[in-house]
Amino acid sequence: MWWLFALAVLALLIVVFVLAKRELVTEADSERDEVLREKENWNRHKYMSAGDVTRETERLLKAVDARFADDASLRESLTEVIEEWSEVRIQAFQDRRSWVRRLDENGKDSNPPPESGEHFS
Amino acid sequence: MSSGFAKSTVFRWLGLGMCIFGIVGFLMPLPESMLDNARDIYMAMDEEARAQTSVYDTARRMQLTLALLAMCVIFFATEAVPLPAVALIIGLVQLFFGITPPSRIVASYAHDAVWFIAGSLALSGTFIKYGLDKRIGMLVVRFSGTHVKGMVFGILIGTSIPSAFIGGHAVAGMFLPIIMALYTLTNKTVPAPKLGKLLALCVAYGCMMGGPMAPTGGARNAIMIGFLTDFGIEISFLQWLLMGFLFTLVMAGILAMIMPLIFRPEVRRLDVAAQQLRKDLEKHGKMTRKQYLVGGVMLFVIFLWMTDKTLIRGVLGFSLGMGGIAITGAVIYILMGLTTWKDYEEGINWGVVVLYAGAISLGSAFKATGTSIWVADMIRVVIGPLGMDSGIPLLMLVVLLGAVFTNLVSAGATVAIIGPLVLGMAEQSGTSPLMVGLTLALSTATAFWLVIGTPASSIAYSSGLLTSKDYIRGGMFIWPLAVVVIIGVILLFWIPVLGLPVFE
Repeated sequence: MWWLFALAVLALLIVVFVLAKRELVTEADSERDEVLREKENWNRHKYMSAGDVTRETERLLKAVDARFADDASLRESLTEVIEEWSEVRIQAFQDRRSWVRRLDENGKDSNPPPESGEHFS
Repeated sequence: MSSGFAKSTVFRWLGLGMCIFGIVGFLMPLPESMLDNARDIYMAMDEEARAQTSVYDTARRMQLTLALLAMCVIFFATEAVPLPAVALIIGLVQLFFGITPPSRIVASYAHDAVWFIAGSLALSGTFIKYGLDKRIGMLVVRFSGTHVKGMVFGILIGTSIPSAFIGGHAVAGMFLPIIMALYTLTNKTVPAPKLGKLLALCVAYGCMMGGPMAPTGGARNAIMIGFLTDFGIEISFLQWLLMGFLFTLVMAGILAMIMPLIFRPEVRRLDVAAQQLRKDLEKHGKMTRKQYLVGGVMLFVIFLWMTDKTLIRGVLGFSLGMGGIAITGAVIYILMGLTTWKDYEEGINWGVVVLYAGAISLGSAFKATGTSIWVADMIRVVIGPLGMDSGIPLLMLVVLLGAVFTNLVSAGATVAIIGPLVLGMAEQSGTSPLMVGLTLALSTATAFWLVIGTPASSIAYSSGLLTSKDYIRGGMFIWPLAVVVIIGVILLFWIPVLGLPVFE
């Protein structure tokens, strides 16, 4: 009699395997789609390398100096805004680069791979 | 959507798992054969132990352990509950249902293999923190030439060998940007989607191949070491390496030849892309002093692992154990100021350590209650007439079981679930548990069919270069080939060259 139970449980386990695999594959698909969406968003943004940002920053600062030579307070505020913008754009540029084109800082990994992993491998 | 250990409980699977536990543990009639086995175990007990139990209680413990295994299969396959919690549930079920005395449960969670997993994770975390894994990637790009076939071989070797020491998922994460750069730079001039598929799959397969090469290649190996210890077999790092390296190297060679034929790349050479990539990588400069130190300690630890049963035992009079050596390395990193405890807290997934401790505890309960012997007997009744219940046919069966099961659940779960069963069969039939255990570990490196086969497969899939069909296409050719290679390694290398006896 017991082996009938055992066979039923084995059959149930096989069904569970198939259903669970489907769920996990769907999950992997949605994770992949998320990565691709993120990449697409990056591509849609105006692409500026670190060099481009520096050049643009210099151009803007020169323009501010020339136009607001008589208003030190406004010039200072605008300079601050432009420098902050520059930092953000350079950081964004660095963030989208993989470790291959992004140099390590102090010998430390600046773009680490997934840490020790939540896997049963 | 939350994933991995961040997942919350999925109640329908939790309910199903608990139902299965109830059915197997309480509704299923107690098999007569289980009572017979329990009687044998009872008779072998000393007077004191006999006074505290009965034949029926011994059989009930076996039935409940079987129910626990069935429930764990559901939880491992569905991730119904965060897996580290499953590991704790394993201990709690043993505790509340009186399967194992509390003191023995605690001992089973503190196995040397658990120390080994924790120490190995700490070592690889520090290795990655200092970017030494990337240096391996740089070496591969530097020495692989510009021909696609050379690059494919370089990627396969460059991913598989490090995966044997620092875990496949980390190696895949490090190599993905390299192959993306090669693909993107080539794709600018010649549309090359097949090249992208080829390179991405090589990363996934390379990481998979490296897993069984050394005990450090995956915590499933540590689980098997834990199980083998319960069977009174102490396997050294060097012995595992000797048994595992050939599969990795042969598969890397064969895949380098076959993969470009399955996924015919649009270009034969990667001159421009490889040169550009090398230029970018050269900007990283030379290795720093700290990187040399981290690499040196890692090599020292590997040396200790390899000489633990020979030189170390000769000098100290006892062996340190793989776990003790791994923890030694992790502590040396802290003492040398190369890392901090905070880094270990942040960089090590302690849930993984708990997970494997639970798996080892489950295997220990299987052995201690005699359930493994009963299940082995039942399987032998079915496969005995086919002549597959001992010796080389049993090894073939284990290869097939492992290779199928690892595609259904995961490598770790395969070893955790099937390990105690096949080791029980080995013990009953007189077949070498060492060979059966290592065969199972090797066969778990064949999860080629699905994008979720291994963490490295999922990482390669997230690149966007691959579809599910690519994995099925690769699996159709590579999976049977890998099974043949494993059987070949056993028949042509383990038995005649290493001189391992099939029977004890």
